[in-house]
Amino acid sequence: MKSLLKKLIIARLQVLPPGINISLGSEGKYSKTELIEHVKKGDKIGQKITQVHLSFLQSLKTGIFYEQDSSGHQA
Amino acid sequence: MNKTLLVTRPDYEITTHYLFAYAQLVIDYAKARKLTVIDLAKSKANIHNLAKASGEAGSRSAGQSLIFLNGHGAKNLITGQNGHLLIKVGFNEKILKGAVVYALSCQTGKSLGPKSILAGCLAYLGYDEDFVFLYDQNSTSKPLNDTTAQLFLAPTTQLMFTLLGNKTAQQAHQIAMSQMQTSINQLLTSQAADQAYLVPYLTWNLTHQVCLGNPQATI
Repeated sequence: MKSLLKKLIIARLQVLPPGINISLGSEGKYSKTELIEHVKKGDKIGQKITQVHLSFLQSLKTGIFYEQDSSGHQA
Repeated sequence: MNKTLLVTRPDYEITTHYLFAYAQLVIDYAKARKLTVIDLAKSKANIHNLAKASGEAGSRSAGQSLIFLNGHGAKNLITGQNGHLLIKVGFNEKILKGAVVYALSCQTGKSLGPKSILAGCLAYLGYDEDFVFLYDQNSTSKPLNDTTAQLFLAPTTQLMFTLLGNKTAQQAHQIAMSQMQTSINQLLTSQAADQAYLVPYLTWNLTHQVCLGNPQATI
């Protein structure tokens, strides 16, 4: 994982408040500190949480946050 | 014949503990609507009980059964208590034949869902990636009081309420996504903005929820 990307994801994880953990389904549960360590290592868990954040950032330009009507069309 | 709700809800670590607690809301709702409920809870959530119960649920050709699967999963399988196998592609996915299914589990929308549809499942709602949620580690003894987890698990409960209200699979799918979307919009526009960190995770679940099979299927 590229260094700049790691820094970006770690910065985003830093905003998690104390006491808030994440369940990543069958991958297990993790605290903020643990997730940051996984991102630094670039292992499977680190890549998964990176994927979650990159997916979000990419969704900003696809318009997912526009209100949708019941047919799924963006209003 | 009465409509039947079959629920599997293991409870052996934090993730399954939260799903177990929220599934109780669905069970209570179904009972209030006079459905027959088969609750495979904790150690009862095993492959033998599921095979027996899916037979008891019966009348699948009439689309009378709703199956709610909670627990850890992968693209081609879902598990029960202590991570033991419940359903696996190529082994026993045919037990979902004739039912409307919602799998609150990771990744089963990739393979188990599509294969179940091929085996005669009417509609399969689930996730084609990991289902994620955040929780307050000080609330794990009372999951329903955890306001952080609630943002993730209330929409999944609403999906089930919608199916139990005789709405279609597609309507249930849309209502759950709309609820997630509303939460995201509120978090992004809130003056306080102190929970905006939740948005990427809600967006992940919203993006990866799938509705397979017949979108007009109901129970």
